This record gives sequence, C-alpha cells and structure tokens, in this order.
Amino acid sequence: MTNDDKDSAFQALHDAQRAAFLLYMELGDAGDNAGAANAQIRADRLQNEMRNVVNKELSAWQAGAEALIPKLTQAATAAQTAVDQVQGAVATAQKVSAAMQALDKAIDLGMKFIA
Amino acid sequence: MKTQRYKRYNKTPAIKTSLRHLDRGISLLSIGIAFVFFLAGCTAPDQKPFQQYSTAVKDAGDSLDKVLVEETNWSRDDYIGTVLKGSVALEKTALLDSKPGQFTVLFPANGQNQPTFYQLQDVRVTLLSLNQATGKYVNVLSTLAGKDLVNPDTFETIAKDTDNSMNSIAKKIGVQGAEQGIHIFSVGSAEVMRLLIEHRRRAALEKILVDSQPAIDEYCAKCVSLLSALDKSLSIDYNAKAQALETEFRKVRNDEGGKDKDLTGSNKARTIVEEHLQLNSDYLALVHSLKSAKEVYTKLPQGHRELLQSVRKQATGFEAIRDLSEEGKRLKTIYDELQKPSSKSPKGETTQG
Repeated sequence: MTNDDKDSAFQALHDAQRAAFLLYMELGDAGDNAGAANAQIRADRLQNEMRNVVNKELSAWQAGAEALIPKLTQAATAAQTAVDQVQGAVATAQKVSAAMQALDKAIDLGMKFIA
Repeated sequence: MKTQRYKRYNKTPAIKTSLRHLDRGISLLSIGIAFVFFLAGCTAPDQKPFQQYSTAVKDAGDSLDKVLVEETNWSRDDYIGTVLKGSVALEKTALLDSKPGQFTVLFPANGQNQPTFYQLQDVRVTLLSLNQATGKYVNVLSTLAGKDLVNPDTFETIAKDTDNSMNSIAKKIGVQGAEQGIHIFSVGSAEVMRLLIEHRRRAALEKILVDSQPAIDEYCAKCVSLLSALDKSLSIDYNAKAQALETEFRKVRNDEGGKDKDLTGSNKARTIVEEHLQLNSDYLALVHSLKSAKEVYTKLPQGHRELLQSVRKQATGFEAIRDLSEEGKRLKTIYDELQKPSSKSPKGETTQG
C-alpha cells in the first residue's frame, strides 16, 4: 500500500465518520433517538478506526526512526573528526613557531653561559 | 650554439652531474610552483550558507517538536474525552501490566490498546534524539566550514613569530645579513602551510557532505512522514473536540427552547461558539505550521546538496537554502502566534458531549 493509498483510506474513514456524526445530529433533531444513538456508535467506531490507523503509522515511524539515529550520529562524528584533524594541523604549525621561540630562548641562555 | 655548448659540457663528467642536478632542481621548482598554484585555488569556503542551513535545521526541528507537544496535549484531551463518553473503557486502555524483573510495563492487550498520546510521547523522545544528532552534525559542519578554523590571522602571527625567532637566533649566532632580517619561514611559507590545511579542510568537507547525503535524505523523509501522521492525528482530535462542542451546543439549544429558538441572550451558547472559533484558529495554525514544516523538510536535502556544490566551487544560487531560511522564519512566526496566551483554548473548559 503506497502512502497515497493510505492517505486516501484515511480520508475515506474521515468522511464516513463526519457523515455518521451529521446523521446523529439530524436524527436527534428529528426526535429519532434510537437512530441517533446508532449513528453515534458508528461515528465513535470510525473515530477509533482512524486512531488505530494513526497508531500503526506512528509505530512504523518509530521503528524506522530509531534505526536512523546511528547513521546521523556517525555523520556528526565524522564531521567532528575532520574538525579535530584540521585543528591538529593548525596546532602543528603553531608548534613549529613555538619550537623556534624555544630554540631562541635556549640559545639566549647558552650564550649567557658562554659569556 | 646550444648544442655546441652542451657538447662542450658533456666532455666533463663533473659538469654533467651538475647539469643533472640543475635539471632536477628546475623540475622540482616547477612542481613546487605548480603545487602552490594548485593550492592557491583553495580559498576558505563561504560559511554563511552553512550557518543558514544549520539555523534552518534547528528551527524546523524545534517547531516540529513544539507541534508534537501541542498535538500530544490535544490527543490526551481526546483520550480523556473518549473515556468520559464511555466509548473507550479505562481498564482496557489504561490499566498497565507490569513485568517484574524486566523493568517494563505494558498497556493492555500487549500494548495494542496504547492510547495515541502515549505513542506520541514515545515518538517525541525518538524525534529529539534524531534532531539532536542532526543538529550536532550541521553545527560541526558549520564549524568545519568556518573562517575561525583556518584563520589567516593565526598563520600571519605564526609567520611573524617564527621570523622574529629566526632573526633573533641568526643575530645571536652571527649569521651574515641577519641585521637586514632573514625571512626563512616568512609569511609566504606560512601561507603555503595554511593552503595545505585549507586543501585538507575542503577535501574533508566534500567527503562528509557526500557520505552524509543519504542520512540527511532519510532524516527528512522521516520527518515528512511524521508530519503526515501528525496531520491525521490532529484531524482526529479536532473532530473529537469540535463534535463535542457541536453536541453541547445542540443540548443548550434544546434546553432553551428548541431548534428555532433565538440564542442571542444565551451566555452558554455564546461561550460554546467562542470556544469553537478559538478551536478552529488553533487547528488552522497547527495545520499551517505542519504544512510549513513539510516545505522545510522537503527542501533540506537539496540545501545539503547545494552546500556540496559550493565546496566543489560549482555555481549555486543557494535557492533551496534561501527558501529554507524564509520558510523557517515563517514557521517560527506561525508557532509564535500559536503560543500567544490569547490564542490558546482554555484547557479543560471544552465541554464533552
């Protein structure tokens, strides 16, 4: 059953429920209490059927969505790893600079000893 | 002339070797220049569309969650209404069955009779996890594309600091020409380093965008299908609320004199009509927000493709991302309107038929 078929089936239930409710109102106005009660029972049953359809859809959605969470988490992890690697490369460049500064200081110290 | 010169050089093996080294040097220099030209194309990506995309995903996720919370409340009201009406038995739908030792409880009939609002609560937990994972992904993506990650200023500082240190060292050890300043590391070298990192960043962005496209497609498809389920669920709850109000109105009319009675003076009847109109406004706003959210989730996959195009430097007008941004703002406005206290139907005041 395609999504369109499911939507059409739901729409049919919805229309039938609305018709049953209007019939309940009309029969009540006409004083046909037994007929009205009957129509109300039908309207309620159709309303329950609609709830069952939605419940099934929600259950199916839930199962599929839970399977998707690891895939999205994996995408986030891959992106974070790339960020870390780029940051690491920048840090390496900074270390080269820091090493030069350290060397400068070491030479400075060495020169003082020699002097 | 050239040939003669070469012939003369060829007579000496030492010159021959020097020429070979010179050739190799020229080749390496050419490769080096070509490499620098190749890297020179590696400019930082434009972060703005990434930020817009990230905001659109967050706004859509937040709005969908808010609609879900609202619908859960409606569904809960509906459940209570059906129990009070007697069309659903409390013991068949609410009497939980515990499973000692398994740390779980079941709704009657092995969970078959679980009221919709409970299911919506479960759905919300899953949706929050989905949104959290997607939100984290697009946020990190935005960071990866961001200027701050490979900041040219940082590299300029690195170059200057290294130059200063090198010059200081050269002066101390008495290197000739140190007084004029030796730019061994130099801004140029730092720039090559930056370009190398930039190249690595672009390659990573491209790979991640390609690899994650299926997950984003699936996420959006899931959200669209959830919106469809919510649309149906809302219509059921609206039906129940509206029909209860109409039944109540009919009772008031019958109590006050029948079908043809003028109810202008009836406060009870007026309150019911007001409630009905308010219910309609709320329902319309919720349906509009669902429709707007559907627009957003339908365009999110295309927006993700546009980010890839921009990283690959293919021409893109970012149409989907622009639309997403606009629709996101619209969605936020709709929900903000819905959240205003004046537009809320008073909870518990809806009369059940």
